[in-house]
Amino acid sequence: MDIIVKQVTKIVFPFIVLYGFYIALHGHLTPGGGFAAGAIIGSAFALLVIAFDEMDVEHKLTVHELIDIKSVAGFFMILIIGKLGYMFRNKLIESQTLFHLWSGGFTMIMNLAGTLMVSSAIILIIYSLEKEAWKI
Amino acid sequence: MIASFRKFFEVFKMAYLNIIVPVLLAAVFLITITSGRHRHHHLMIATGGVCLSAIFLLLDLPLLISDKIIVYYQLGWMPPLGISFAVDFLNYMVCILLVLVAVASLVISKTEIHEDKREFYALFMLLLLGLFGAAMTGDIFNLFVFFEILSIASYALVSYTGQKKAIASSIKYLIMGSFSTSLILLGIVFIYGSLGTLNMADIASKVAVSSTAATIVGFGLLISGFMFKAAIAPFHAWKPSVIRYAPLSLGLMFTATGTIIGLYTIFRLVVTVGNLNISGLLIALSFLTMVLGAVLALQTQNLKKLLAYSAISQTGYVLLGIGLYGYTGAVYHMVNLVIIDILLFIVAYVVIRHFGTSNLDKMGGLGFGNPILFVSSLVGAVALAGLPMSNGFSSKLLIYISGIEVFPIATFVAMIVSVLTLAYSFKMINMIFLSNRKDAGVVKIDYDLKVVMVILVILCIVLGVFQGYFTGLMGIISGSGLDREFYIKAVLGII
Amino acid sequence: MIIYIASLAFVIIGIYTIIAKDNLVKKVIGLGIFTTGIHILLIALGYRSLGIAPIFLSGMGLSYFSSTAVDPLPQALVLTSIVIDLSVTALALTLIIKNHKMTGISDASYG
Repeated sequence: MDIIVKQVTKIVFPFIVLYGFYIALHGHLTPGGGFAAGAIIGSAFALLVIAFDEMDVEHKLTVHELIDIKSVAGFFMILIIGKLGYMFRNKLIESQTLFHLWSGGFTMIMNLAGTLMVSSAIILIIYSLEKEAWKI
Repeated sequence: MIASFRKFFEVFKMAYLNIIVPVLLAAVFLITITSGRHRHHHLMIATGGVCLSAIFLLLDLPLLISDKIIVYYQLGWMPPLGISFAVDFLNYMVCILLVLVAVASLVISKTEIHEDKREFYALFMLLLLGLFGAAMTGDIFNLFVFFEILSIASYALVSYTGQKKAIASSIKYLIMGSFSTSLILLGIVFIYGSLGTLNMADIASKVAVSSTAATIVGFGLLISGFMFKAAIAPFHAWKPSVIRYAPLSLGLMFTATGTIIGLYTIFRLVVTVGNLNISGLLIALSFLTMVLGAVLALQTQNLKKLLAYSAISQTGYVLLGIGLYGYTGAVYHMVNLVIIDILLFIVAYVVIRHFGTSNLDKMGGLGFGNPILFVSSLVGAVALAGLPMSNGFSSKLLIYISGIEVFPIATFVAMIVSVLTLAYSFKMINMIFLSNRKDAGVVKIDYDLKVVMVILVILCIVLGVFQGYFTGLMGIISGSGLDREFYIKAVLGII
Repeated sequence: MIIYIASLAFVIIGIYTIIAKDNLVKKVIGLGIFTTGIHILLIALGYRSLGIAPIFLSGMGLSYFSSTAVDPLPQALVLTSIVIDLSVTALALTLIIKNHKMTGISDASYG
């Protein structure tokens, strides 16, 4: 890709990730949630992959194991937090103010775990596709 | 005894544990995919997981016999609000058949698949998860989700060998299959839009009262989507190429489990949930399936394709049984079909491994040195054709009888297809065992395959000889699918 | 009304693309369009003009809530279906890339 796309990607990339985390944290108040946030963060990495196509593939391969661990951690966080939220009837962390950030109980943490899992899955898919397309 | 079991289940809510086992095993295989240690125990772990699922299923049995149905409400939400799992005798039998097929498939996969391929076992466990979930759930959207899980796992498994043809057939299977699952989703949209509920029992209670044209369209889309999985005639095109290019263990898995789960969902939707009066359509489609499968099986010279076409043709019999209101015969034939499928696939696996090809023209002369192989394939062929004293006979007889009561032409067509079945199954026997090729030699059969083959042959004969007992048993099983009022009341928690 | 027509148009375009186009990537795009049409139909089922968010507050009566709140279930269904569609598309693209690398072909009629 040419220099304009690369520079714009460098500027925009952190903001997309930040917006993804905003969607995750406000998933119980505004439209969005774990999956949407994960998809946004994943799309930021897709932009990275498209813009810097000559980025060396070996470097990306070392990312894989990290992403594996992240995805597995997200899976088990969802299992455990979901079960905890059910056991405590969502009463443990709660503020009574409506539309307050903590009013969702376990939902916000669930959304974060979902973001972790979905974003790592999408990054993994995009990197694997890119590896398939260019290398070997 | 039953009281203690009831207490056990009510405390731990464990009626669905056989689904949890494949999930956890798939997660374990996926997690350890990058680590290099412990490479030789995956087959054992996978088989152990399947056996653990079977043990949990068997633990359900006392409660099932006393209650006639086990309903598990997820997170305590009652239907129609929550998702429920409802297991009656029909679901239970389907689960048992799935366990049988999975164990046989893993036994065959022992030499076909390298044991250090964790991704194979992870995908296999995901497939099993989808199958168990689809067999046990009581909610049509949940059914769709489990169907997608098993479909995605099977698309990936078809391309597992990495050969050109396998990947090409996997792509075709994927495009056709995800089109059909999209049709299932569209059907769910129609049903939800017209009835306002997704729970099967709730749909069953509302379908008589507030059914509109959209409901009928929805059921039609759902059933056509499931017919794809069962490979009923207009939707059968994926099966031969998939089975031709996948490893034989996976071929067995796709053939048998697709038939089981597709026919079970059609049975459940047509009879229990929808109470639809579409027997004419089902009979017409089953004619097409039976005749087309048998004729194509007669003309092919490839052993794997022959088995695929034979499975398609036999699926038509079960559909014919459902169409002719002969539910006992349909369920009985489904059980027999699975047993015969496993037996013939094991024979085909041994034979193909011996000759190194699946072309029937290049085989021959195995009949004299290999009595176990010969006898078991002979029993399989006889049972497939439905000759007396075999299990195929007893189930086909029930379908014939219900045909004579309802629609005699159906019996006539089914008998003609039986003759065609005899022709192609004995073509198979002839070309593998009897031709005058001298250098065929003695086939080396593994000990565990021998045991499985002997067990299946005995099952074939027992299911055929003690026809009376098994007809009664299958009557109970199909009766649990027929009793709509009881199902609705039990799942909705009215009683 | 227009949203039903839009979903019908999406479904028809999707089916046309799956059947008529020869390129496998275009077929996968057609599958995506087809599923999107179904999703639009599903969302349209739950929509209610001038509806409120389906949160039951203590001040409102049950009849008021049930007559004005939007049906939240279709959105959950659509989200699930989108996730499934994502994974199917990813698998399809992987297989198509692999097929293209092995054979140099990405058309259905030669594959």
